[in-house]
Amino acid sequence: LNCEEVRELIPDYFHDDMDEATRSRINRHAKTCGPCYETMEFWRFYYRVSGRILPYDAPEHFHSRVMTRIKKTRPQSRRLLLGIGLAGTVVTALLLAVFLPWYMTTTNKNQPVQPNEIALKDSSSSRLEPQESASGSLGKRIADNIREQRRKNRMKGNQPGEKREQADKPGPKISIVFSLPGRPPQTSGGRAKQLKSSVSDKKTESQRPSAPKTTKRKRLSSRRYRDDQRPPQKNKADNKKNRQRHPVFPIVKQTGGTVTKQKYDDQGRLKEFTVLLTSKQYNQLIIALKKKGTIAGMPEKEPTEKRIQLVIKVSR
Amino acid sequence: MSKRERNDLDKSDCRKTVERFKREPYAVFNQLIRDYQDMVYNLCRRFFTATHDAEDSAQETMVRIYRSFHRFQCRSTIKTWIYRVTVNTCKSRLDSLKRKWFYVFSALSDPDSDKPYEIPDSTYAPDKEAERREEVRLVEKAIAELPDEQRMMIVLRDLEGKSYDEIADLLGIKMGTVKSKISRARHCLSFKLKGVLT
Repeated sequence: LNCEEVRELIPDYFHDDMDEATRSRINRHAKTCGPCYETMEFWRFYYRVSGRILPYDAPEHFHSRVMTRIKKTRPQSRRLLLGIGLAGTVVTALLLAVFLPWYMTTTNKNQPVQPNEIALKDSSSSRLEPQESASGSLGKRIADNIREQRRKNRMKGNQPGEKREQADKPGPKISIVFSLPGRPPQTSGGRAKQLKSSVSDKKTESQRPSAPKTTKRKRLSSRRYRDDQRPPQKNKADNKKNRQRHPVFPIVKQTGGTVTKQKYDDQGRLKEFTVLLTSKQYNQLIIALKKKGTIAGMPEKEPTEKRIQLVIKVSR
Repeated sequence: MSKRERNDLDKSDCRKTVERFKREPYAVFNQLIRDYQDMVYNLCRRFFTATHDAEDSAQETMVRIYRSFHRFQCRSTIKTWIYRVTVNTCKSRLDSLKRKWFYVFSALSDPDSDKPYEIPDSTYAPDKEAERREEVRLVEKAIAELPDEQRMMIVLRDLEGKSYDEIADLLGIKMGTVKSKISRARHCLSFKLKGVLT
């Protein structure tokens, strides 16, 4: 054994678990080696002093304190556990009661339904009921979604498709009679009335032969019959020119209305036309027309619909 | 009586105690406290320099024993098991106290006055007795100033007289680790006590 090994073993020398052979070898080495002897004396002294260290005794109150702690903590912990368990169950039940219906509705709403699925459903919905055609959970969900969407559309009417449909609808038909200044306004069917009156005039005049034939119409008709010539037929190009020149169209264009139907008489003169307008444009157009000429046959109440189909009959 | 026979007897006694504990826990536990409270408290007092820490730890050990005694399977003696529970409780408490900075200072400047000293013998001279008390106080102080782990090793080996095997078993580490840790702790202790005990 060298000094380092001996110094490592010296503390255990004073314990009982060292075998006799090692103990005697250490003894022999320590007798011949001064530093190792000093180390041995140090540890001998240390163990002598530490041997005098008496064990601590538990204080008198220790036993009673432990018993009270056990008696206090155990029932409390049981009660606490029971309370926590009960509270947890109640909270879970409440959460389930509140959030489960909400969760079910949201999942039904938020289920991603592919557009092609909806389109397919829409196309088939005219022939089949959603429940009949849909099979399985996805089918049921799609059917529910479609039904829900339709219900919403009916209630709100603010879906983009619906908007487009509404925009395409012409709206209610309102007819007015417009006449340019200097000419009295005539109600609808004025032309027929005029013709009728002219015939009646003719009859009365014929009954009174002495009366002079001074009207232009009479003269023209008499010339027509006299010459046996038909009035000159105007070609389509001439008609178009006339149509474009009519002073009403720029006003309609200015207000933003769309002219859909135009009716012309035999001579290519504008007889009647239809304008698609919004209620705002309708008001603007009416004001502009009143400035330009006179209007008859106006409805008593202003239309409230968004889209209006205005039929303007031009009197002459 | 051979060692094996004694072990068997201990085991049968142990099982009987555990079974009795299941029936009447308070009575059995009262007896356990009376038998082992000094051992538990002494060990805690060695590990902790502050009295209140030692007492808290001892009480905690007793509560742990009470709560888990019904699961004890009698693989070792009741004393060994209680000793192990005590060491583990102290170890976990020391670990938790490590995080508290004030513990270091309270350990160094512990104002405890209830440290045990030898009962003065009439044959001894008063100055000699004072010197002996001072020596004990210095050794205790040197041990108390060691780091937690080293103090635990010195307490178990030098003060409690446990073998390397037992310490390794108690702390759940290898025997080589125990030896190296004890060697390091002794080196540190001898450095502290050099010039004091000479």
